[in-house]
Amino acid sequence: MEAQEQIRRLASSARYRALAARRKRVVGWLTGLTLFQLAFYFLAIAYAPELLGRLWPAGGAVSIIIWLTVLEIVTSVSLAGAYVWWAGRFYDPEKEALLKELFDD
Amino acid sequence: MIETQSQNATAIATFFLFVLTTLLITWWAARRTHSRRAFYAAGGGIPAWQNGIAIAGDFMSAATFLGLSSLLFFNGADGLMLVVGAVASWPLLLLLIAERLRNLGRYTFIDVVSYRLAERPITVVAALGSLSTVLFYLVSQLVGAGKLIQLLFGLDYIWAISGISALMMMYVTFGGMLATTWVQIIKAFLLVVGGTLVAFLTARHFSFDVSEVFRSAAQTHPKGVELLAPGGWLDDPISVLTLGLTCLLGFIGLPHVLMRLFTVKNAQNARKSAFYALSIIGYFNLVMILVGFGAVSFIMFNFDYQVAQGGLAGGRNMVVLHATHYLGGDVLLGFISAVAFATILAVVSGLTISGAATIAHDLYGKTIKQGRASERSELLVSRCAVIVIGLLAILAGLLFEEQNVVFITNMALAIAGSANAPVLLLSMYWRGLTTRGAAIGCLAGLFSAVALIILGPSVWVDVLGKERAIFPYAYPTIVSAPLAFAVSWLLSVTDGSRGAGEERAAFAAQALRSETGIEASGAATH
Repeated sequence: MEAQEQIRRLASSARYRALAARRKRVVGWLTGLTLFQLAFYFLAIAYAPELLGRLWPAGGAVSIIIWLTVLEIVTSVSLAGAYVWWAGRFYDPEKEALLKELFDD
Repeated sequence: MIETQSQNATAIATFFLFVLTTLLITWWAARRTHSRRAFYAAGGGIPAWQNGIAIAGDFMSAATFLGLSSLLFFNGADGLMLVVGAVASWPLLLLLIAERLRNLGRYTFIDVVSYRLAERPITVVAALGSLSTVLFYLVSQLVGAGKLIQLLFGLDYIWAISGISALMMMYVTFGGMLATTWVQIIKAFLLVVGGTLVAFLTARHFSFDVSEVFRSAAQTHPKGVELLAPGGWLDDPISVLTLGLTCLLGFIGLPHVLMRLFTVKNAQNARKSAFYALSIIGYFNLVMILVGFGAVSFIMFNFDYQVAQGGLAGGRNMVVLHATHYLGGDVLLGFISAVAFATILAVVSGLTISGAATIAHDLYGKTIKQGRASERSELLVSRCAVIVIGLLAILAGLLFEEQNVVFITNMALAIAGSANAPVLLLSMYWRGLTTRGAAIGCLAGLFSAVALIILGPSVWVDVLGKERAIFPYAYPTIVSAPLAFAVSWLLSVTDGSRGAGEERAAFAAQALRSETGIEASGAATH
């Protein structure tokens, strides 16, 4: 099938538009969370370094910034993992089925 | 005291084993590298998990291994900003870039940027940003590597950088992306094993009580408990924020890392690759935190690792190697030294193939030959480009031998974040982008980044010896990246030409292709 025809069929498919919108929402939320955590981290260092230098728990030996850094790394991997899981579990199969339905003729 | 590794049998044995293995791989890969697709993208058939490991190997440079531990050792918690900056840029690369890039491009990110825009001007401008990033990054790696190998293996500086460049040229010229991929996979494996081993020994030294690592570091370091608090290295908020922005945009605009996403079959595998890479990079950075803080207790006032004039033997970047020697003696040090060597080699190989692809595919194939270059001639140009890049790198390495190369690394990241990343993001997500906006926006990001670094403390004060920097921040991205976005936007929205209208109209089809992968090139058999 011609590429132009494929594009035309995709663009006019309500099911595709709904799927793309769902993906956009998921990516939007996860991107927002990633940017939020990153902005929070750097803004906290920029404007509240004393707070981040406090030991937690009090009397311990690990400061809040070290905990926060570990949390940032774990959260980054988790957010990315959440998207990879969602896309593999829901998005890819539905997209493949849709493309098959639209173009197999 | 550390002996030079010319006397260390483990270092020599591990080093020769690595070189022999990688040369065998190059010989094997050379027999499979006869086409453009094989040379630039390893045929597009690398499995996601292998590509993820190779990306991690490509991304984790000597700066991560040697520089990060040193930064944590001397500056304490401030070094954690680089950890988070490097790791947190990856989810964005995965969410916003990986799949679309794989679906729209073939070999380089410039394919994507020029997808619906006028190919020749955009390719030339984006190639300028890409090549600048690659060359600055390559030189910074080589200068650091030359000094390290000089120290570790007792080689003269010129032989050290010539040796690295010769191996790098051999891998890439003959084995292309396939050989580069395996060099990076082996390096990543060695790096993770080596880092884990040093971290394990560090933890064992403190009876596996992690909080004791930090308590002991704070008790030993002259900064005391301040070591565990931010604010000593970058003491004003704008410097902190510009570092964050540089990491965020800089790491997602590195051409050699982006290029690796074309070596897999499809967008799903590109996405998975990025996730595997992020997991490895995240783990390794956690390990480095332990090693960097742990080393304070072993090394800071240990006269075996100090020079008479004061300071660390071999320079600031030797922290992880001294810690390794303290914990595991000559045998472990020999192994880790060879790992450091492999680390450098893998990164410079990735940079070289990326530069060669930009020269041969983007500039020669698409711009000069306008897509009519034969496979044979483009491959020949690619291989010649590898040799030219290798020779240029040696020359630049000699020129910059006595310079503080920090500004070169800053330059590479700042250009990647100010020229490459803005134009890549806008081309994929903004319908309104036109050729005029993209080209001039990219140039604005590139030149402002370079100019502000020259006017900043890394060059104006440290290199040129002036009393006070004209631009106060080491990283210019807080100005240059918004400038690139703003110029691209302004010149695009005011572009009323017919071509601009057509480019905007082509966005919808581009978006559909980038989301679904229809018409995207798949894997080829080798």
